[in-house]
Amino acid sequence: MLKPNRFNVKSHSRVVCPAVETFSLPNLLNNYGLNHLMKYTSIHTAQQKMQKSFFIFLGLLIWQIVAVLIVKNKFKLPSFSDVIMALMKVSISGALFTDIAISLIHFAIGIIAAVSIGIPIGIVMGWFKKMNGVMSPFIEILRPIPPLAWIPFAMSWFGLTHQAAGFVIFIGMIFPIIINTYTGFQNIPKVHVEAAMVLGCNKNKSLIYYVALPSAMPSIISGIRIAMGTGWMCLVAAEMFGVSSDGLGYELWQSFHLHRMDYVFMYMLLLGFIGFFIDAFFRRHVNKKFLRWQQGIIL
Amino acid sequence: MGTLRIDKVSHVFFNNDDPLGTMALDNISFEIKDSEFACLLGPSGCGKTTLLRIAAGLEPLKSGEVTLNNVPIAGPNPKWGMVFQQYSLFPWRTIINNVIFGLEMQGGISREKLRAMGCKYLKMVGLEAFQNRYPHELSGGMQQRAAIARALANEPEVLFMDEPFGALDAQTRNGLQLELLKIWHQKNITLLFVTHSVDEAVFMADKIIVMTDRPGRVKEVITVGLPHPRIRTSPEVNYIRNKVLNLL
Repeated sequence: MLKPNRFNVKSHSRVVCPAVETFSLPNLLNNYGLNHLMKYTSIHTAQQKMQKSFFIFLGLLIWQIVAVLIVKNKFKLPSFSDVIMALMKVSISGALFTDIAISLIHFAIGIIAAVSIGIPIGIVMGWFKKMNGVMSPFIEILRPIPPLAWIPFAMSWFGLTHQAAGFVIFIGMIFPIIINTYTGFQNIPKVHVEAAMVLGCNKNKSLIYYVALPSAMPSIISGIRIAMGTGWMCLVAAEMFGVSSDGLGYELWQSFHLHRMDYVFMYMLLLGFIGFFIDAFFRRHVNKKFLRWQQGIIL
Repeated sequence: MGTLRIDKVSHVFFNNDDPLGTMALDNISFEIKDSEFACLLGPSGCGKTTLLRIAAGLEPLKSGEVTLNNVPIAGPNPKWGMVFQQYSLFPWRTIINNVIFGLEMQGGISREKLRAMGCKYLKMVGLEAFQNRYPHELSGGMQQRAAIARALANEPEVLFMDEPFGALDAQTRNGLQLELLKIWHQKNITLLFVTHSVDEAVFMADKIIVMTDRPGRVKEVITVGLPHPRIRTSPEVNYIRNKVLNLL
């Protein structure tokens, strides 16, 4: 079907070098001038989807078989059906949704604080050399302290509140954001700043706003994404170590104390899924909005 | 639109390795008259770019004086535009938003008016069809044309150009030379154009300022005095080319 001149002899001349391009069916059809066959390529992607779900199903089946027939110990490996049952129970009781909501509140406090404090600090350090000299010693000493080491102070300052958990997440998130903002500012091409200056953009404020910030945006955004990963880790740890008496991390730890490993596993998977969705949401909306100009360069 | 005078400009670069400094420019003086097209020609490393950057206010003036219409140049200003050797368009802005950047900085112009003005300048360089593209989607020659449009949009009195066609292939380069000449005729702008290509200088300039190797000094100022359009291989052009080549 893909032989060049079987359908259309003229199209042969348009074959440049299909080998160089991605070897997907739509690309091939395009190369060979067979665009009218494009509608059939949807079968191809549907097939891929089928394959994907088949492998997921296979994985779940193996898990179930291993857990029920080989391990035979709910404490070592809860089966898939156990985990589903656990999920059903917490969903029906409604406890699950409060826990998710509370964890998301903790995360939101952390990320909002880290972004709104971290980015300005990074900007000041990146743009004003003197400020960098003043601030970087503090940053360099505070940065290696593991965020979880702040838990005692989080509790002493904020008590058992959402802010306490949010604070630990904030500590986990702020440093990647500062460092990436700073690095982004360091890597601004000098010619862009000079071009802006000869075009009449002379004040620090407008140079930062019109040139430095957009130029550093890819770096800042990837800093936030890295920070979201560490923030999510800190969330679970903060809730586990008693900064909170709610939330997914707290429930996970409680389930462990009750030796309910099916619940533990369920909360683990939930954390994975929610983390994944937050990242996907971020990539979809934030990247699209701020990094549209990069499409085709990197994405 | 403006007379540019460079008067006894010298410049020494210092760095940690050599406390005595390297003399980049030594007592440079010349004048470019209103609406004149001047080329600064010399071997690479002779300080052409440094001189241009000093004149544009991007490098501090240490000794001597640079004046535009008898007013000293201090710091960058939209009255003197600059086109850089490197691609200097802002990659996060579309072509039209790049072109209107300077106008936007002036403030107080409505969005529609900005757009219309941007279109006018893009039309001048033949890029109106690409106004909503991002710079990375354009070829090198197109990017430099857009950079010229961006500099012109501010209606500068002098336009400094630092080997703007240096990174381009010969064909694109010839095309852009013609286009620049056309714009220069239209706008009556004073132009200071840095190049190390003798052909480029002889083809375009009214006045060629030939510089010596480091430290940069003015070796000779040659007035070309040929009408445009010039033919690259005509005897008159060849005569001047020989004259310049003998100086280098």
